Amino acid sequence: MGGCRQIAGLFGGYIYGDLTPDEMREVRLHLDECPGCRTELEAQTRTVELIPRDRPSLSDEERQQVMWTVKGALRSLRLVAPFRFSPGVAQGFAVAALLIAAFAAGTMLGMRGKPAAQTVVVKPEPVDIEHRALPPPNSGATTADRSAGPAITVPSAPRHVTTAAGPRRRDRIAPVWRGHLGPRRAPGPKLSPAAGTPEGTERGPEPLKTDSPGEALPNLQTPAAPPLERPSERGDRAAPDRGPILTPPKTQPVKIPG
Amino acid sequence: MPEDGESLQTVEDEMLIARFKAGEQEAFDRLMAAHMDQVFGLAWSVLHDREDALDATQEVFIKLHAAFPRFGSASNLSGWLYRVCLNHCIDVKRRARNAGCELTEEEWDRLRGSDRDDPGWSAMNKELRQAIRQAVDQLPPRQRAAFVLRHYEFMSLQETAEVMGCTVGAVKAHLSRATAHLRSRLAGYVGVAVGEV
Repeated sequence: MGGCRQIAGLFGGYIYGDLTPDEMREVRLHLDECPGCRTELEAQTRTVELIPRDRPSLSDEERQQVMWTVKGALRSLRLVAPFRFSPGVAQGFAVAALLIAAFAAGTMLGMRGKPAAQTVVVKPEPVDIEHRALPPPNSGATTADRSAGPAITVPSAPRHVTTAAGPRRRDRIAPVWRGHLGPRRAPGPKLSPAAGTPEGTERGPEPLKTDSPGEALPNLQTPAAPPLERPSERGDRAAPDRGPILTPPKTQPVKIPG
Repeated sequence: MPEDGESLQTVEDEMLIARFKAGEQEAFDRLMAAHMDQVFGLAWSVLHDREDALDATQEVFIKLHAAFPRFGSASNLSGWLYRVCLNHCIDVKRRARNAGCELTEEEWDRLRGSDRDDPGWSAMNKELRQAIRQAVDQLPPRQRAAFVLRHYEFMSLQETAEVMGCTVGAVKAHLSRATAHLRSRLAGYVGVAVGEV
């Protein structure tokens, strides 16, 4: 025979008649000996009997109401269901949206860089060529020739200076015609006639080789270059071949309407 | 419910489910009509409110329609309906309790009219009726489910255990605790009400 706690766990089934025969007998034996459990079971039985077991029933109107409400809800769900996005369709829409956004952004950026009004055609002014120098002596051009047409006389090639050693030494001779570029160039090393190597350089030009071993080297001293002159000191003296000075074209300011 | 009635209902349910899966929408209407009283009664037993019970009934049948594609046989249709309805009603009660906006009994009577309820309940003392509803509502969910299914739905312990998803022994324990709780909460009414009823 179980204790009061164990028997109390069977009271629910006892009230509703759901216990097995063995359980029913066990409860009855305990109730015969335990007045407390007997009182408790009587109180629980009264409580359960107090609660009505009948329930309200649906009227015909409520039945119809439930039927139509459920049908309407299902119909709306069926209408919505075909528009549910599958993953592939959703990705397609996302790509299309990105493309549209990129196209719109590009269009707006292009409109920001250009004026919205008409295109302004700017005509460049003709190049003003100012001849400041006389043509080199061997160019053959004259002042009259230069003023006759728009042709620009290109400075002639550097003139060769003939030295005693012949034309093979011309690369070592400072071109005379570059004299006006002197201030823009760093002073070159001084030539040492005896050694043939410029001072301040580690490796000078290779010594000249002659055909015959005993032949003395020619005098490498170059003829004296003409002294550098400032343009103001030059006067009418011509700097040999100074090319035309090109003045950059003047641009007209563009007036943007609005 | 008698055994023969259950088997007949099960056979009819199987036939209606097969017709519905074949695309016949009227079969679902007939299923609704066949189980509407059962679902509404259970919902009312838990909620003790007619409008809430109607809403719960509609929700349960909408869920049933959505669950039909993966529904197996009709043998467990009643159990499925009880289980879904019970869980839904317990959720409704929990939400109403959290919202804390329940109307008083007088306000409900003015809104819906108490004559629409069952005559047995309408004839009761309003105070006792409210006390019973509160006592049942305050039961823990498992105890309330066991009590409602056994007391209102006349289910056996085995059927209750299937609906609740537990063993028969657990149902016995839940039912005994439920009657003990109700007894303690309605102790003041037992001696007086028993004589009246």
